[in-house]
Amino acid sequence: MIDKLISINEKLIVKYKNNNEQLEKYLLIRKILNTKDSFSKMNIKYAYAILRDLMIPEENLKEVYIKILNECDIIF
Amino acid sequence: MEQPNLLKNTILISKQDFKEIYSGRETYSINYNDNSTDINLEIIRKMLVAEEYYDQLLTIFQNDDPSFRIAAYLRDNQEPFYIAEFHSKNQFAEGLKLLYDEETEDFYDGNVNKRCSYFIKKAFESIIKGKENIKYKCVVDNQEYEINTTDMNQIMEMNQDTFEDFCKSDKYKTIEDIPKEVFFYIFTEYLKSFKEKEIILPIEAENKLKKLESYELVDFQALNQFNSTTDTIYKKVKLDNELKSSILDGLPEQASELEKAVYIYIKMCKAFTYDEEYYAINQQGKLAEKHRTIDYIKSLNKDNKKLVCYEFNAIYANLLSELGINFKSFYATTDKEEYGRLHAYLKYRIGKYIIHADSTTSILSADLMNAKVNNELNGLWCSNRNKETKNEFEEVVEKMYNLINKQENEKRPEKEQSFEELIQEYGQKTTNFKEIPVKDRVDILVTAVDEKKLEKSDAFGYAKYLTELLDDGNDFGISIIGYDPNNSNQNPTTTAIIWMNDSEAEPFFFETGEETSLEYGRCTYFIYNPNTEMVKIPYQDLKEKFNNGEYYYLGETDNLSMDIPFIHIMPPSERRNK
Repeated sequence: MIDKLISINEKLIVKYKNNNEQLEKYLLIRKILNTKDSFSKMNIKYAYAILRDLMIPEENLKEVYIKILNECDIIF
Repeated sequence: MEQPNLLKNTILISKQDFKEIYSGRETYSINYNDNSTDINLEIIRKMLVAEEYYDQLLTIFQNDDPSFRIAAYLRDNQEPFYIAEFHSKNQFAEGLKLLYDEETEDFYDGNVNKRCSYFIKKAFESIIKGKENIKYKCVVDNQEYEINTTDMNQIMEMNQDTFEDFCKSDKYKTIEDIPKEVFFYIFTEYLKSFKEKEIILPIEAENKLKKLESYELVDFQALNQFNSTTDTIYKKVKLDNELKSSILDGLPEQASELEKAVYIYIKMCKAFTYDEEYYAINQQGKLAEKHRTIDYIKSLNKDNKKLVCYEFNAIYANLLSELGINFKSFYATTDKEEYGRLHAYLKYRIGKYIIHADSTTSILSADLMNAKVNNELNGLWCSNRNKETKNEFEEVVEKMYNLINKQENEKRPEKEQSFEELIQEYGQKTTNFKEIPVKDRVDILVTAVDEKKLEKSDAFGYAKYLTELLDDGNDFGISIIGYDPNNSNQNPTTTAIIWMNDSEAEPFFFETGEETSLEYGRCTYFIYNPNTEMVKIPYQDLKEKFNNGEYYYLGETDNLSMDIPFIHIMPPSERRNK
């Protein structure tokens, strides 16, 4: 699932290459997604905001979020 | 009775005027070509004010005889008394100039002022008469130029405003094929040449000269300065290659000579440090000796960057010489190259700029310190009097300062941004924050834990971990408690209680731990075990199970601290003391 999100984000980076404000945001998301188990390190409000920025439909947010969470290696 | 004016080239004044003017007044000695005459300025004033003397003066100035006298008959039938003898009209003009410069109030009544200027001008014309169309030669920056004196005389007569507009106008880059700055340098030298010969310039020419020598109209102040370098000590500088590279690295090839010189100065100030030991010993004694020889520079390297003014000056001079820039070292109170004895600084010229470079004006607020903390530099300044030139120089300093700082920032390894910092920055850029209902978050908790398919104890650990991720203001939580169905201490196990703020739930009261204080809250409770259905449990039932020992807290850390549901359940807004 995380690979899919990375791929979506790369497309958005290309799409917004001439829009500095958006580009900066998606470059930040790239850094976040490339951090191992990033979703298990951030509060749900940031996770949902990222998923919305990645154009995940509102009705699919919960499902996608749970999938990404459970892909993470969590040591607790 | 007055005597008739029978004497040629003599202005005769009345006995009465003589007595009036000469009664104890101060006299001035007016010199011209080794001839001197003492005169009271009041008598010159009288020549201009009294019409009978003025007419005589006009007559004298209209003839070609250079000399004239002022006399008075003090006694009848005797030789006149010669009050003053002027060997040239210029000598009289000098008196007029003295009077003019006194600026007395009545003198400036207009008419007298004009008469004064007129005679000074006439005196000047009598000197230059017959000297038209002469080539005036002048060497400027090692090149010889010639300008026709008639052309310069015409400029001299120009109306002051027209002259100033002519000087300032960008239309004229050259005048008679001579660069404008060079032309006005020569014109100034031409005017000064009269003064050197004690010739009084017409007032208009004097005003032009004053303006030109302020360099505000045309900046030619640097011309004929620093046309060669006479310093020698800088040639002995042997600077460590690595250190030299660290100074010159980043010097833009396309930069102007001035930009390069400024760049090197700032980089040197950043690279070197003032030797505090030299400062501490008050620049005396054995420890100071090492700085008295140019060889100390050889010991400077990336580990030893301590120097004083002598070394800085010599190194900077050496690097400027590589750019082909002429300079001169100055040693306080002497013109000789006394290295290591007196404070040293450098002056150099690039084009129209005359630059003063002293990185150690003072120890604690000098540029060796200023440059390191990006403070304004106070040791590198343009000594031109022209404000525009000064401003242009300041702009170059600012440009190079910014460039060096940018280069330093680029070299500095980028600080790795922590994940928290990344998230914070992202939070400032996104507009997609929305409230997520607590019921959804509890649902995510349970679903995620169930789907993870973990052993019970791991599942509870995971659930507690997720609770922190899903938290949004402490509005739900999970408590792991002991469960002993028969209260028999046989086969006890664990279970979880999930609590969730719920404005639709029935309110209930509970003790807060203080005798007189009771609070109430609205909360929904669930019994949760991984991979089984989450079951809602009323508060009273839950309380009963705690009371009869079926449910119990696990360990001291859980008890009454993080996990006790009765305290966690209340949103602050709904708390009330009773």
